Amino acid sequence: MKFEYMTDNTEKTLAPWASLDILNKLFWQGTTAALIFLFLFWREKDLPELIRRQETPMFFFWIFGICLVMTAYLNLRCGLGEFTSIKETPWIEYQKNVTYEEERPFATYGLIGFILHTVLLLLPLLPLLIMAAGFSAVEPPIVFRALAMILLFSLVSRLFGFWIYLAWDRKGPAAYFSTRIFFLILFGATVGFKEKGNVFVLLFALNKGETPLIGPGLTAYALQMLSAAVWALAFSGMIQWIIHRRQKTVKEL
Amino acid sequence: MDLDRFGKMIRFSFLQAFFISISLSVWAAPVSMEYQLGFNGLFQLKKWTPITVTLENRGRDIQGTLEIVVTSGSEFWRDVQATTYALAVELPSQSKKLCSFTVLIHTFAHPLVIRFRQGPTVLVSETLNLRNYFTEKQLVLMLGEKVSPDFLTMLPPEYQTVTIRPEYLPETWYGYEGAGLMILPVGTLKSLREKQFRALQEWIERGGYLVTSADLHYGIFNDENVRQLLEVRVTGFEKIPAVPGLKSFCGHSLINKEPLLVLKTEMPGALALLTEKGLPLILQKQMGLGRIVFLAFDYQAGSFLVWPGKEAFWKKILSLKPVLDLQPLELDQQIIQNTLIAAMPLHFPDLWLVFPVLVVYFGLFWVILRKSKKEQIKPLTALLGCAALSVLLAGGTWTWFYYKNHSEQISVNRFWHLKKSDNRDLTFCRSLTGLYAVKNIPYRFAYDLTDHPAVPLLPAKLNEQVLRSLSLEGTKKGQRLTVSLEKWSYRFLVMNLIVPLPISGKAVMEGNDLVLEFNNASPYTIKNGCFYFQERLFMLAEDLLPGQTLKKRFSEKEINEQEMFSEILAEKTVKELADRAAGRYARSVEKIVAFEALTRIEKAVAKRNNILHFCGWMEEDFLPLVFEEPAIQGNGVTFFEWTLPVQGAEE
Repeated sequence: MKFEYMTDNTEKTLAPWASLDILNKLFWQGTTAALIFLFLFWREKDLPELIRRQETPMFFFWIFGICLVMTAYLNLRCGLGEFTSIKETPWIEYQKNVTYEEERPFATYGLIGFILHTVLLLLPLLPLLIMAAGFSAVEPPIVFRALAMILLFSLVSRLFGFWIYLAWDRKGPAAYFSTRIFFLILFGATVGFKEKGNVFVLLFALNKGETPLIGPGLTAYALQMLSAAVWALAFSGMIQWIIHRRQKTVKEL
Repeated sequence: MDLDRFGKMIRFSFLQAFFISISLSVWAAPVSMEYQLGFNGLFQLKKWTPITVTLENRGRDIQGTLEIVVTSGSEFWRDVQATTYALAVELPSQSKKLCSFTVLIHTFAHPLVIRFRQGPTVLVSETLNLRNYFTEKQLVLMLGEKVSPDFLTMLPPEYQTVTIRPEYLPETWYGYEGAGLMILPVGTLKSLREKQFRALQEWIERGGYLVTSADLHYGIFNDENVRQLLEVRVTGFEKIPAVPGLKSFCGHSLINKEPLLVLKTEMPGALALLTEKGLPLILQKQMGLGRIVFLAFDYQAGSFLVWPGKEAFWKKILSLKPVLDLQPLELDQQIIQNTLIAAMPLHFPDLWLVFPVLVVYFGLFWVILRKSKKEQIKPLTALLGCAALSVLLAGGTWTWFYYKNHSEQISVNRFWHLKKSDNRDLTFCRSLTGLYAVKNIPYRFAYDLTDHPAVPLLPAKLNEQVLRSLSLEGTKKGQRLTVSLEKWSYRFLVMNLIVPLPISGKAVMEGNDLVLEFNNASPYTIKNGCFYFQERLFMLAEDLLPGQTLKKRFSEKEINEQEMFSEILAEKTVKELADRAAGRYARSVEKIVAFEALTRIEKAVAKRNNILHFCGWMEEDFLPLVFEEPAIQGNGVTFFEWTLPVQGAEE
């Protein structure tokens, strides 16, 4: 099994792990989240006052929500190949760059890389997330569930980005706008479905200590994770099919 | 009819009878329940009330829980809360058990539920409409088999007479809260259960009033209960044809055809209120804050029952009821609650701890990226550096900010207010226990129900429709109090009790000097003492240690030089005293509560120059709670307040 995305920083890797650009983005994301955290901390610093008012501090919701948006967006861009190194070539010599992810079977190369990179991108934000969960007194199982949610939704965003990349390449405006619209729908337009359809509403409920139920024995969390997993599988399947078809065409040629 | 057919019919009839008997025994409920609410079905609102439940099991052995659910509050104000009083009951087959509860009923708007359940299955349940049971009148409890019916009407209208069987008397002293007087023939004391007798004794000691009468069966005076309570020695009896002395007692003399049988009694320490020919007829004995009146004759005897002066007699007896002057100084409960909340041990970490962690983390992150950009380190090294840094700091924040916070999400603190009057041994105590939680948690603590009636205070805002506030469970190990708290909420419990506190002292004016002498025989150190006298506030420099006698003299010059009381002076004094307090909790509570107390004392006793009002602090829990779950130790602080008359001082 090959893991070029770890070490190869050339245009052959869709989103090189050691890309300075990605690391820079992460740094600024983390700094922004930390500043928001500090602002919230100043505002809600008096814990006895919160208890007197019987109000739950919302550190968990805000910081997990912000980190989810940032990580998912970064993953969407990674999937779309926006961080791929571009070799400077005269336009007349331009040839479409074919990455390792497009050349190799997706299930055994690209997907593993995507999952590991998603985890890696979340890692720098982890101290902040833990701090926020601690100050909101959220139970450990809820923290792990929320982390799993961030990872899965980020992975779905990345898979969608890569699917669009395969379909339209990253350069086109169609690719750019369709990924952003998808992002807005995934995290914004689903608000109408409340806890069962929107991840932020669910994070808010989890912060409040609620476990919203959709039906007998089915929690909103389980439903959201299940639907995200189904989307991830569907995108993976389509990606695999496109790659397989391309490889078949190349062989035939 | 041939024999064969007849035999068949007989067999069929037996079979039928067998099945019917089986079906009947299955159909009949194996557990039955009877109950007695209050005193013969009467209770007063907002006063502790006894409920006696009798369970009978005609089926298999049952281990269950008997529960009484009392609901208070109103749906309109969204402050409905339910309190469950539970008792674990073992009911062997073919057995009967009597279970006694003491409950607090605030309103008759909600029904009271009594149920016996085995696990989640309710075996028997009763729902009582309380509207039919409550009374606003103070109750006079009559015990005995021969209670005269006209007794029910002869008392003043503010009293309601209730006849009650001894087995339904409460097992807690505060179960008598609705009772103004209890009248019982001395023989009844013998039939009381141990808990009932102890409760009766404690009720009298805490200000209760008992009237008991003679019994011509002398043997009863050798009974352990009777000896313990009355300490009466009977030497015989005498027939008295007339009792003219009753005229001075109640305005009517007793002269009947039938003589009155009177016991010759000796009662050490008792005061004879009425004697006839050297024979004590009515004896009064002080017991703690309460009183026992012993009638050396049988008030249910024929000659007494037909006496026209009996109405005046009982009115006079009622007037002898002890007046409980031991009332706590009413501090503003809201101020104390807010102080306790503000002083709770739970806090977010200080900013000086959070801020540097974030600065160091992002600073190192930035350095790595900077070096990578300048190609001083390879991109892969930068990536690994950032990952290692993240993992390291994630572990650190988990340990310092998450795990520590998570294990300390519960907290309790307590404030005691002790009020002592003169050199009276019994002291009025009120405690306010604050329970705080940032996660959903049931607080469970061992709780001796007989001594501490606990009342939950409603939080200002409720999150639920019905708050399951409190559960009192009786188990084999003893009483257990469970208070369920939602995350980020608090609850306060109030407990009122009267306990002996061996602290004595005197204040004497010797000439124009004030001489104080305090003797502390209690195990508590009284710190940060100050006293209010003749509109001036004085500080005591010394602590009053356990077993210590402290003498202080304040000369006329010292008294006159002392600044007159003002709020500014009180604030300054309180601050000075609070700075001497040990620990953050004691300091913050003392600062606020002492100021509140001093300003109230000034209003209460200003211009009363013969009264000295002492205030001090015990920087510990007066009676600590034993938490079973979670095993936590809370902070406690006790405010001690003492009113002493100053001998030789002009009013």
